[in-house]
Amino acid sequence: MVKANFPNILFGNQVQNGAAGPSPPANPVIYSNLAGYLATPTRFVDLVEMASETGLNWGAAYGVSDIATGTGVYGIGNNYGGNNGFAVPPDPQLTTFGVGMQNLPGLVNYDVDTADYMANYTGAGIYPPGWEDYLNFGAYAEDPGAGGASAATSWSWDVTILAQSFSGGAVAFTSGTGATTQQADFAINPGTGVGEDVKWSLGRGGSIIAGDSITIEVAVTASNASGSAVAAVDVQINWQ
Amino acid sequence: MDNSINWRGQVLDAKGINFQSKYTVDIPEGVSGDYSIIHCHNLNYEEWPGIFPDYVLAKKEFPEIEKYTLLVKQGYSYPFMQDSYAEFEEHQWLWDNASGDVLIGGLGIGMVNEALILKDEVTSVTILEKEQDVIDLVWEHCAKDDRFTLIHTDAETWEIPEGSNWDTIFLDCWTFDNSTHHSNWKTHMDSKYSPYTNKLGYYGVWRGLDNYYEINKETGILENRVPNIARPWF
Repeated sequence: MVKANFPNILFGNQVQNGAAGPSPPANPVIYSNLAGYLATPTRFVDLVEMASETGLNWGAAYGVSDIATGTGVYGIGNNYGGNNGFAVPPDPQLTTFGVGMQNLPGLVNYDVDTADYMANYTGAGIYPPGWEDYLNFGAYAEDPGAGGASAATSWSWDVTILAQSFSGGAVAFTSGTGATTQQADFAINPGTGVGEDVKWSLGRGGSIIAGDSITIEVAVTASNASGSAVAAVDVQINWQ
Repeated sequence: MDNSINWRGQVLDAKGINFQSKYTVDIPEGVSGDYSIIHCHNLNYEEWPGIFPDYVLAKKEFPEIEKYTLLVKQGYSYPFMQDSYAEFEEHQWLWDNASGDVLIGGLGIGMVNEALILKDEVTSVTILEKEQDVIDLVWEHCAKDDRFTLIHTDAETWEIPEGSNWDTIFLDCWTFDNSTHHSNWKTHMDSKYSPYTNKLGYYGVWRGLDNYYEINKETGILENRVPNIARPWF
């Protein structure tokens, strides 16, 4: 198993709080989930599980390749809200509106066909007007200093909307409370993962429009008595 | 438009008109039935209703824009309308197409009145509003002149007078309490109103690529921007 840290795909915020006691934590490494962390040789680094409520057409495997190996189809997918199995990975589900994914350092791009997305959102009539779509995320944080003087003793997950550009009065916001466990994937927290999620409704304009986008950061903070360190993965959704 | 003037100050267009006067309204606070007019300003931010604090942050307006007037309905976290700059942008189709005889679906807070009353090329404005409570709260106070007429009716079911024709029709009357999805509503409205105009538009469903402006957080200056491109100060 490769457990090397990749500073080019992570950023840290180490804080020195004095010479005595343990060393500050090393930068954690985000994996899509505990299974991804344990997998050999594929590591699913720099990914998060993602579950979306909207969608009716499921079944085909989909996802992004591992950034280190360039192989595999892992780590991100959509699950219909009634399914709490959240089998991503290794079996991410596909909504037909997901038309492209790209795993970049620290960033997953997710391209969505707007017309198909809206057909899923409103066409089937199962979601009432005013209903809020949402995304939630699952992940596991590796502690490179585990077992040593820099071992993390507490964890905190946080979801932040870095940017959003919606038309027609739509607005996204975060809700929920971030998990405080090292493992915050769907296996241990079905349906909630890292605790915070991102919701949006369509606004008075009634539609997402091609060109709309949102960028979300999923971050974890590892802390001990001497300081803290942060790692994050961004997910950018582009409606086309 | 002069884009080098501080947003909090007077932003003047080519005619020397304060840009904000084109969309900010002067409606007093009040309650009628399930509807309310609420004033939100920097001094009562903690009291802003529902999702509105998230809204202004998402639209990157707060705190540069210091006051808003909202139309809210009890039981709904989203305001039904607000005189935000984002709202103004989302009416861009109307600003570009309004001329001659104009039919508007939805009074809201009377925001479109503020802009249309400045347009000499508009000869008449007929506004349809189905909620008497909204009319009671807004109509007396919104901008209007003898070109403006209000009809208390539901635009979805209104029996359009025979022989009617408008140069421009703009429909902004689907709201969160509508039991019909917007897409189905729009299909119905397309069919109902397209025979009466050559220019039929809707709120928020057209995204222009020009005339997008945003406040530079560092300088406080209103600047032209490209939609959907990450802003350097973001």
